[in-house]
Amino acid sequence: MTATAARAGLLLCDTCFQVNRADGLERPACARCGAHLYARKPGSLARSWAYLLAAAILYVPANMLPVIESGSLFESQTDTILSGVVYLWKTGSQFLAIIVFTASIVIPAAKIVSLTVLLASAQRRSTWNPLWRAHIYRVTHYIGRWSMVDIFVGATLVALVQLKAFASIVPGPGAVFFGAVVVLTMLSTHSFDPRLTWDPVDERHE
Amino acid sequence: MKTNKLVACPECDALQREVAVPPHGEAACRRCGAALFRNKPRSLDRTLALMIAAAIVFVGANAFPLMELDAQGIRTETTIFGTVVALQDTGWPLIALLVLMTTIVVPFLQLALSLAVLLPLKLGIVPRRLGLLSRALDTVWPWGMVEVFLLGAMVSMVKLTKIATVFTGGALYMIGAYALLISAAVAAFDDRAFWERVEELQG
Repeated sequence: MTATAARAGLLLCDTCFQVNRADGLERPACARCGAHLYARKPGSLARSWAYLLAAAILYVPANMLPVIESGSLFESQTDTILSGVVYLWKTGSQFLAIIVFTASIVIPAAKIVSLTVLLASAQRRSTWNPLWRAHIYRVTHYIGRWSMVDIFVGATLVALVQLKAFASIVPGPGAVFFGAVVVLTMLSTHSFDPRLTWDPVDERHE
Repeated sequence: MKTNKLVACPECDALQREVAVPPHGEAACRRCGAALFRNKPRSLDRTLALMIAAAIVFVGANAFPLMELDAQGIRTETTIFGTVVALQDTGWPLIALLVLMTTIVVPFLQLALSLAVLLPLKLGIVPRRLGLLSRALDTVWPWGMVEVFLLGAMVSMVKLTKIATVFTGGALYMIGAYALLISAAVAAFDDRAFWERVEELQG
């Protein structure tokens, strides 16, 4: 059986990591840095689910709609994230194609799936393989930001290819949805309290 | 070093006694393996020095052009802020705002807040509203994405070399240096040493 801060009546400050006595106050504050203290992030599951659901819905238009619209005197072309990857691959940049495919398609999808697993198992108070779920949480937490890369590819293209009537590139509506997916999955990850994975494990041993 | 203090794992809540960690070593939670604390020698000085260097490079990263494009005699160039303006001008204010926040505003706040906390501490003063500054820093930190922007700029450069001649600008190197300095600063930072220093000064 593992001794936990919660069971010992202690509250960990998530700003300065000071361990405080709970003292039964209504709004406990950290003795060292003054941060508001709580045993678990308030409303963690509800907020995390809400962001995740919004992200999952917007993931569809983010991938279906064009993120880039390019036009010249002779032709115009729209690219979704996937067709952008295909273009990179076909024109000989296989390495970059793999990077963009991973960052823009694999990681957002993997994040949505792993957050669903984390949230559903915490909600059901599952005791299934907490160590593995702790790893999923950590990877999800660190890797999320890299999905934004396609937004920045678009931003630099748009800024540079403004050659009047000759050729121009503008963002497509998919870019807004895509940016929203990345932001929402990050908010969902930050709202999740990883200690919820372990609470049912501790209770089972009681 | 205090050794019989209690620490709680921020990821699984397991209580454990603080142990002595060798220089450059790190203590991991015995249950879930999360990083608990580390022992970085001269952590505050090194973090401060790296942050000051990053701040200087950040100015350059924003002042110089990212790259220049030459398509049959028509030349264009852009800076980081130029990409924000271009997104706004082509009618996409939300994406412009996203790029502005993640590549300019948040990185600026990361530097400003870090220096506002570390500089006074170096001079032996506990900054007023330290708790508030620290929480603000924790909140904004994940949203700074300069290194992701660098990758994005490099991908777009490869795409553009297929239709035009592309020249790299100074900002591209500055962004690379900035990303290295910031990650070195994060690696050098020892939050336990930081808060122990605060307690020391508070007496």
